[in-house]
Parts: sequence; structure tokens; C-alpha cells
Amino acid sequence: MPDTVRDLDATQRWMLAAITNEPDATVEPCDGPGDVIGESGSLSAAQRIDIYRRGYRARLVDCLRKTHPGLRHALGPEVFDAFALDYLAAHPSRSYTLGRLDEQWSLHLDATRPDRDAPQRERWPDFLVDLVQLEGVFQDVYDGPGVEGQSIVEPADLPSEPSAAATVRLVECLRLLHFRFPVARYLGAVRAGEEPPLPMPAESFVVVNRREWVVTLTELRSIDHAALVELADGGRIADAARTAGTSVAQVWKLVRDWAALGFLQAIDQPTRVAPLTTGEVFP
Amino acid sequence: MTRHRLGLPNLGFGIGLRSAHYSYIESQRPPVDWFEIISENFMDSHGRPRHVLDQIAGSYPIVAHGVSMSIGSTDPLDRDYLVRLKRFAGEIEPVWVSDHVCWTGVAGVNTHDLVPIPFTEESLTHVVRRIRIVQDILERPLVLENPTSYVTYVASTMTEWEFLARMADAADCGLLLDVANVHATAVNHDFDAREYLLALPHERIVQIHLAGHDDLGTHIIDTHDRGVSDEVWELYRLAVQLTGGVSTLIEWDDRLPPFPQVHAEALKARNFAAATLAGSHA
Repeated sequence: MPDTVRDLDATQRWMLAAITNEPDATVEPCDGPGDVIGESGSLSAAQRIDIYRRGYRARLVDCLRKTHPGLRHALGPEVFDAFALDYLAAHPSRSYTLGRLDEQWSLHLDATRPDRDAPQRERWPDFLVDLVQLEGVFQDVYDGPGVEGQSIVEPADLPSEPSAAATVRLVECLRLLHFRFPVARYLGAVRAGEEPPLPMPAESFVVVNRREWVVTLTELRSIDHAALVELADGGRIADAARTAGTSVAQVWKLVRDWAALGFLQAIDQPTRVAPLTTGEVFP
Repeated sequence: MTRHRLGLPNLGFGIGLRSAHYSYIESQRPPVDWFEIISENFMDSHGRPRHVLDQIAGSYPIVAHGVSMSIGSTDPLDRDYLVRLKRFAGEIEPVWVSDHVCWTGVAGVNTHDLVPIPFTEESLTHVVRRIRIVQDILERPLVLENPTSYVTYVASTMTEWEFLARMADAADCGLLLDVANVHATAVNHDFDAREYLLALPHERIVQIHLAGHDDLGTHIIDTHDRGVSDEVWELYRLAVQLTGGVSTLIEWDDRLPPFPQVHAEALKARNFAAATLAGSHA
């Protein structure tokens, strides 16, 4: 850094600390506000800095409110804001875009859960962590690459007879998630303007996808989720059937359902059926 | 000799593109001269925001207005950001690219606020050097806006308008004159807004912003949540006289009314400018 910029740098670091710290925090170096900031006819230096301090919090908390309506509903407005400020204090934005503001939030919630070192864990922090994670993925899928304008597999594109050797490629915006609480149902209800009660713990398997710019949340049964994960990993229909402990015909029916939901970018059916290994489940 | 407005066109009277208005604009195709977008809201988007922008950019001139360049920061310039901005500008072909004379963060932290810089020789040298680098990277002129200021620095050795004038000349960049910000800053720091406008290099003013504010008695907050105040309209009249009329944009971000109400404010600006110029030429 050129010598000429050192004073400017010190001033900016002082201002940053004054803006991002709590109001009564000591700001180093220990210049008083009046040593750096001038007074106006009606406001002291500290009051003027406080405009930026309050604006900083309000702007970023408001951003988190917009991207996390589910968590806000679960916690209530005041507790949500306290959680948001705690997160921002620990993880101030380091990106030019507010789109990444929440990317550490679920990890932060997990790392700061009150029962972190307790021998027996409470369940409710799991709900908050799961919900924040889902809301983050929701935003990623909303603004990430999608398949609008591209051809995807429709149910009518599928042969009526199951193809054990077929593989599928999922649309690139699709995400497969596993939670400890039914957070997709909860978030879907909040986003629909409903007032869902806090859910009881229950494993949930969720597909987040986007069709025609609209993000969709689909809950799957665990075995269906396992089959879809197998297909996402490049497995054949027969592999998915084995993983899910079901039949090729059943997986084929699922594939048809998933095509109707816009999950499939492409299907590859070998012209010559590969020999199947022992133990594969047939219809 | 400086080319008038850096050779950039007068686009007329535009509106800031906001997501709440997407559906209206897509369905109604209102007769707006141009739209200004917040670059960071679109440059990484692959979703509906970018899809809507692509549609609108096919029908209207677009100006890309950024909030994260942090041209006054002592942190190194964010090359990744600039490369993305350049690529984005290459894709949507904005008529120009703008940002603010401010810093938004330091030590790697982004406050996402437009924090003023001390108006010193040191700051001026620093900012001018960085503007030139940015213009080289973007391969296009940069247009920079005066933000609203709520603080003055004890270290400042010159006025804001002197700083802007010298900066624009030394860096050979354009100015985005936010008339509402001049009014707010003048009230907050107790100076004459007219003196500010008169002292700027008018040939470098490429664009004007107009917006509403909240007067709290002790200071004015730049809220962008209401129509333009009478005081700002009067300053706008002077700005039109001084510049001969340049691209003018209505900024409205919070408590956003239906599109026609924002459009009406842009049409009011058009009438104001026309009446002012007609009076000047009478």
C-alpha cells in the first residue's frame, strides 16, 4: 500500500469498526468519534456515525428477512432479528453480492446451538438448521442455472415398457436433500401465506427444482429418494431398483412421475440391453 | 476539451427496474424511455431476474448502476467483481456503467452501504488511480454518483464538489449527479446546494438521479420511498439549466407504489425539464 493511502486506510478501518460493532463497543484505535468525524449543527459525531451503524444492521437484516421467511415465521420477528444480528456479527458479508449473505448461516446456527456440548441434544435446533439450509437452497435454485427454454423429458417421451438398463440425467437446477424435520412442508405453507404450527421431528426427503422460473419443493418417500439419488449418481434403473429394494417396474413408474414434475433432462436407453447381474429385481 | 457527456446520449426519462414491477413491464410494455438496473442484482443471476432483464433489454435502453465497486476503498480492487461486471456489460450492452464515489467496505468486509470518503489530496489521488484502472478493465468510461452523506471527516481539506470536479477531470470519467443526494447532503452538512451544482463540470454530467427522502428534522435520510420533494424539483430545475438536459432517472426502492405512479414521476421530470429548457431559450 502506498504511504499516501495509510491514513485513508486507518480512517476506513476505524469507520468499519464503528459501523459494524455494537453501539457501546470500544473501537480501536481509540480515537473518539470527534477526532475523525465532524459535528453538524444538530448531530454529534457519534450520532452521525450511528446513522450508518443502524443503516448497516437494518439493510442486512432486511435482506435476511426476505430470503428466510420460514425461519422468521418460526422464530417470530424479534427473535429472528436477534438471530440475524448474531449471525452478521460472526459472519459479516465478504462478498460484493448480498446473494451470498446467508451462506454460512446454517453452519453458524449449528456451531452456536446452546446444547452443542451437552450429552443429550435438543431437537429444535435441528429444525432451525434444516430450515435455514432449505431456504438457502431455495434461493440458489431460484437464481441459479435452469432449463427454461430447453427440452426436457416428458412422460410421453418414455417408452411404456420399463427399461432396466436406462439411465437418466436430472435437470441441473434439481437438488436432493435430506432433513431431520419436515421443513419443505413447513416452508411451503409459510410461502403460501399460511400459519403452520412448528412441526414435530420427522425425517424428510426433499427435491428442490425449478420449472418456468418457479421453485418447487417435492417431498419424497425415503425409498423413492434413495432411487433418485442412485439415478442422479449415474445408476441404471435396475441399480435404482436394487438400492430402493423395489422393482424395476416400480422405479419406472417413479421415473414417469418425475418426468411429469420436470426432474429429467434426458434419458438414455441403450439400444442393446446389457446383461443384468444376478440379484437384480425384475418386474 | 471534454466531449459533452463523454459523447454519451441523452436517453430521456427513465425508471429504476425493480422486481415488483417485472410482471407489469412484461405485460404492458409501458412507454418508458429507459431503465436503470442495479448491476449486482443481475450479473450473477441465471434465474427469472436475468430472464426478465434480457427481455426488457431487447426493448429498452439499459444503464447498469452498481453499488459494490467500492472505488474509494483502500482494499485492492475486486478483480473478480470487475471481470464479472465486464462480462455482464458485454452481454446486456448497457449504454453506460455507473457506481458511486464511496467505499463500501475494507479489510475484506462489505457493509453494503455507500460510505463517504474524506475529501483529501490523498483520497483524490487514490480514487483517480482506481477509476483509471477500472476504466481500463471495463474498456468503457465509468460514470460515478455522489452518494448521500451523513458524516464529514475532520481530515477533509476540500469540498465535495471540488473533489468531484477534480476527480472527474483527472480520471476522465463521467458524473451521475444525484440531485436528491445533493439536497440531503447539503442539509446534513449545512452548505448551499446551489453552490455545489454551480461548481461541477457540467459537461461531464452524464445522468441525473431524482428520488424521495425522509426529513427527520435533524438530518435527511435518502430513503427512496416516496415522490420527489419540492426542494429537489427546484434543484433539478437548476441542474437542467446547467447541463442543458441529460438522462434523468427516478429511483424508488422502498414502499414501492404501482408502476404507473413511478412512471408519472418520470413524466413529471420530463415536463419539468421541458419547461425549464423552454424558459431558458425564451
